Parts: sequence; C-alpha cells; structure tokens
Amino acid sequence: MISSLICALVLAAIWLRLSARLPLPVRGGLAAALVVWAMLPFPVGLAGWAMSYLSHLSITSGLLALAAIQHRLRGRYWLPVGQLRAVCLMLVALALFFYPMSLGSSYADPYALGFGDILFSSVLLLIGLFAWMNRAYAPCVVLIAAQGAFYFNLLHSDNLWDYLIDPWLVFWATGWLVRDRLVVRRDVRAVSRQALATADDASQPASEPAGSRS
Amino acid sequence: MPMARRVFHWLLGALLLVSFVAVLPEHQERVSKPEFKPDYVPGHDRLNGQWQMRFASDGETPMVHAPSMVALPDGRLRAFWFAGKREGGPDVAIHSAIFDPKKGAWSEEERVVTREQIRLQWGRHVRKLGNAVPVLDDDGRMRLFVVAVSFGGWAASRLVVLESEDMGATWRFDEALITSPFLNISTLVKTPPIRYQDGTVGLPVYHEMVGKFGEILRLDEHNRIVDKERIGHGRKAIQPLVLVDGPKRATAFLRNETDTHPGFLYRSETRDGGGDWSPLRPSQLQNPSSAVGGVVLSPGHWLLVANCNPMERDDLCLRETHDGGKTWSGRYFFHNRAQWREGNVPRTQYMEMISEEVAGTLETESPALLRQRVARNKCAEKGCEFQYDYPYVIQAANGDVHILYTWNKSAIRHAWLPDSQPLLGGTAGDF
Repeated sequence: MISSLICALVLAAIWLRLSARLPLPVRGGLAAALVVWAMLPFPVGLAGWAMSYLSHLSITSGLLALAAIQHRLRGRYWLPVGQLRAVCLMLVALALFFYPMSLGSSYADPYALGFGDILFSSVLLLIGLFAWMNRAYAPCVVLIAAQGAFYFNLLHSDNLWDYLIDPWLVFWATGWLVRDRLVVRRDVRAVSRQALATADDASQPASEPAGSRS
Repeated sequence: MPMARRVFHWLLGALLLVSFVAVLPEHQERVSKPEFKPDYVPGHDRLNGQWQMRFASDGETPMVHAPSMVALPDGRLRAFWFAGKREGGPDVAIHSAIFDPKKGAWSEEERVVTREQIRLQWGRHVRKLGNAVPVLDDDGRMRLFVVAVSFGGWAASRLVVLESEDMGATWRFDEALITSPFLNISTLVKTPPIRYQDGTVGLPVYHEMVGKFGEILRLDEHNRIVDKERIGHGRKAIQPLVLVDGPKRATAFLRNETDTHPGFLYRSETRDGGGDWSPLRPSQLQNPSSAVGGVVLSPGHWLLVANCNPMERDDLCLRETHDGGKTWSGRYFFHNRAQWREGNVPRTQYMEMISEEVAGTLETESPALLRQRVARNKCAEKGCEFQYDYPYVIQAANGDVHILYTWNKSAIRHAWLPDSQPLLGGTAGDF
C-alpha cells in the first residue's frame, strides 16, 4: 500500500514537472487522476506495473515527490537549496561505493548492514544529530520517516537501506547536481555580465544570487 | 528563536533518538554469534545398499528442470521442479509429486504453483518462473522459495515465498523477498537450505547480474531476513551447496563461473557458524560449470553428486570423502557418456542408449513418450547430446539417500539408496 502510494506520488511529481505549460487546474486534476489510477489494484493499477520493473521506491523518494508536488502546485519549495545540494552530494557519493560493493565487487557487503546493525544505526543517528544541530531539518525528517517506516515494515522490506535510498533516487540526485552545476555556472556568468554592464552605471541592481532558485 | 520553532526543534531531536532506538536490532547476538544446526542422521553413514532408479516426472510436459525435494514427517518425499514447453516459457509452472518408499512408487505429477497465481497474489507482473526450493518447518508448515522474473533473463530474478499448510499440495503467496538494493533483482536459489540453532533457516542463494557470487540469506519463521552473509565475490562462482559439519563448521562448494580458470568446483569454509567465509579456492573436483548436490552423512563424511569432468554435462557421478574433502573416493557413475563427448551422436545410436537408460529405470509409465521428449530436447540435425545435471541430494530421517536430477531436460530422475532396506526391484548398480 505505502509502496504503491510512493510510486503514485513519484509518477504525479514527474507528470507535474512535464506538464509545466498546462493550466494549473488541468495539471492538478490529471495528477490526482494519475495517483488514483496508480493506486488501483494490479493489473489495472499503474503502480503494480511500475514496481514490477523498477522495484519499490524509498521513503526518501516519497518525501521528495511530496515536496516536488507541493512546489509545482503552490509555487513554494519547502527544501532549502543548500540542504538539498548537500543531501544529493551525500547520496551520489554513497552510491559510488554502495552499489558496486552490494552487487559483489568485494567481500564486504554494506547492504547486509541494513538488516540490523548497531553500528549502522549509530552512524545514521550521528548524521541526524549533526543535521539537527545545524538546523538542517530536511535530513532529520527523512531519517525519522525512513526509520519509522522500517519499524512498521511499511515497504515489506527487512532492510533499512531500502527505506533510505533507491537507485532511481540516486539517478535523480545525479541529474539534479548536474543541473545545479549548470544553473550556478549560468548565474555566475549572468552576474559577471551584469557587473560589466553596471560598471558604467552603478545604479543598476544586482541580479538574483546563485542558488536562490528552486 | 520563536517558541513554536523551538518546540519543533526539540521534538525533531527527540524523534531522532526514538527512531534510532526503534530500529536497533532485536537479536544482535543471533547475527554476531551464529550457530548451525547440523541435520545429518546419526548412525546412518554406512552406505552398502544398491541404488534404485525411477522417474519422478511422468513426461506430461516437454521440458522439466531443476528438481528439489523435502522429506515429509511420514517418511515420504515431496519433489518440486519447473516444467513447461521450454525453459523460461510463459507456461512454465512448478510441478510436484510424492514418493512413497513403502510402495516404492511416485504419485501422479501435479501442477502446484503457476505464474498466473503468483502474478495475481503478488500484484506484480511475472514473466517466468524458475528454480524452487522447499523448507519444511517443525510446525508442519512448508515454505517454497521460487525464482520469479518480471523482465529480462535469469539475472533479473527475484525470490518469492509461498506457504502451504497441507504438505505442499496447495500454496498461497506470502511475500517477495527484497534481497538486493538494485531493483531487487538477481537473486536465485538452487541448493538445499540449512538450519541454525535459533530456529532460523539459511537459504543459500546466488547472484548473476554484474557479480556472480553466493550468499546465505537467514530467515526467521515470518520470512524476515535477519542476516545475509557472502560466500565469494566478483564474478567467480554461483549456486553454493553448504555442507554443515557442526555448530560452527561448514563447507560450501560452488559452481565455477570464471572464463579464465574453468573446469573445477570452488570451495569456501567457515569456522564461526557462517559469520565469515574464507576466500574461494579451487577444489580438486573437476566440473564443467554445472550445479552440484551433496549431503553430510557425519562430520567430515560427505557425498557430492555432480558432473565429474571439466567439459560437459554428459556424465553424473557421486564422490565420497571421509576427511572433510581432503581426499575423495568411492566414485560411482550414474551416467557416463564421455565416449561420445567429442561429436554429436547419430540419432539412431543415441535413441538406443536412451532406451537402455529408460529400461534401467523402474516402473516407467510411458517409455515411448519419454523417448519422444528426449529426441525433441536433445537432438538436432547434426546429432544428439546427453545432459544429466542439477542434482539435489538429501538424506531422509531413516538414513535413506535420495538424489533427484534433470535427465536430458526431459524427465526428473530419482536415485534412491535405501539404508539397509530389502530391495524392491531393478537396480542401477552397487554403491
């Protein structure tokens, strides 16, 4: 049920991203219809088919999808860009060793830690506390939600990793970082150009600073 | 900081601590100090009988493969295999039959699990079914671990669990195991399960996508995975057969999947109940990258059944060791077609040899149909070839040794070595 809901939310978020030029009521209505369609039982429902091929999505993906849907419908982004960038960087860096090792490149198997390991849980707690002390609440919410879902076995997985990350989330994070890099570079160039232009006219206001978009 | 924000801040901190405590493992010692439960039958390790050969399948389907079995509490055996028009075909289902040692006969073959059944009960697309391995619990519940594929080939396999309360006659889907972080694909079963002192079951599994390696999945009575231990890594070996000698000691034999060093079985040992497995090393046992079956008769006294040459699956032999695999003896061939290894066998000559094998099998219901199946599966225009593979070996509670294997992709053949039992009929040979 929760797996299907997360899948439905991700599909709706993708739809809202792709349909940015349509009127808001149409986009919202179709997104709601998509969620309902996805949640229908297999073989009618879309989620069953999607998960047959993509497997389940993590709680983190579900939360990000919620944030994206809210952003597309309301125009305001919950997540501070700095925190999102840090989380994406951490995800991609983690995936660089996590997936190859889990798929057999070494005797050590980090995925096995997710079946229950005090050290692994402690590391997650430390990451959470570090974020909490720095008032970075998004990672805290992700950790709390993922661990809570794991406790109640909401994804029918016995492995905590499955609640925290999934390959599609990593692909998205990689894409977001690439886009972020390009946007930062574009903004820097724009600022430089504007600075040159305003050299003659000091009264012109500065452009929007890098990283302020969502 | 405003009051509401301060409350939110401390609430989040408290929830972080609560969630940390909630996910702490309940039975950390189970993982840190595992202990096997050896399941050899004490006092039944002297083999001096004669093998009896039968067919467990009845030729109902054109193709059969990958048998497994479990001993029932009343002394009978229940076997499982997958069968259909062709391997990976949409009609492939899990078939089953029961062997009654008192009657010395197999029951009619039944179709017990279908692709459609799993598809609807799981709520996911299932393209094909593969190997199935049964586990009989102490409370009489039977579990069946089945390879199910939603897309692609065997490398995209997932494991589903079915449960039966009537000794395997009918099944209901329980859940799909999530065993891999990458799309949950590429986990397969083939070899018999092992048991632990705490009641958990160790399911030897293997991966085929990117890496080729073995693992043991440890499952509790609710099919929850409590631990996973790796046997080997990289792209070396699959289908681990785990032979348990004692609470802390076990040896695994694995099918060799390397291109650079083919021709022998790999082995690995554990001395801490499976917490750590030694790096794979070549055994002295030749094998053409095919599955191996085996059983522990007493500590250090093992039987292994496999193809015993580095080239082809055209023989099937039994090897015995009394010293934990340092030396091997008692080689006995159920089949040996090495003489015809170099070239394809002319159809007429081949069918004569197949007829001999059928004639040497007890109570064959429809020999003509079996011959027809073999000709379809193993003969081409240029000639025919032999194939004897995927052995699965168990020792029943009364000491009898049972072997099931795929016979020319056309039938499941049963080799039975009764323990000090009077002979019931024709034999294949002395041990």
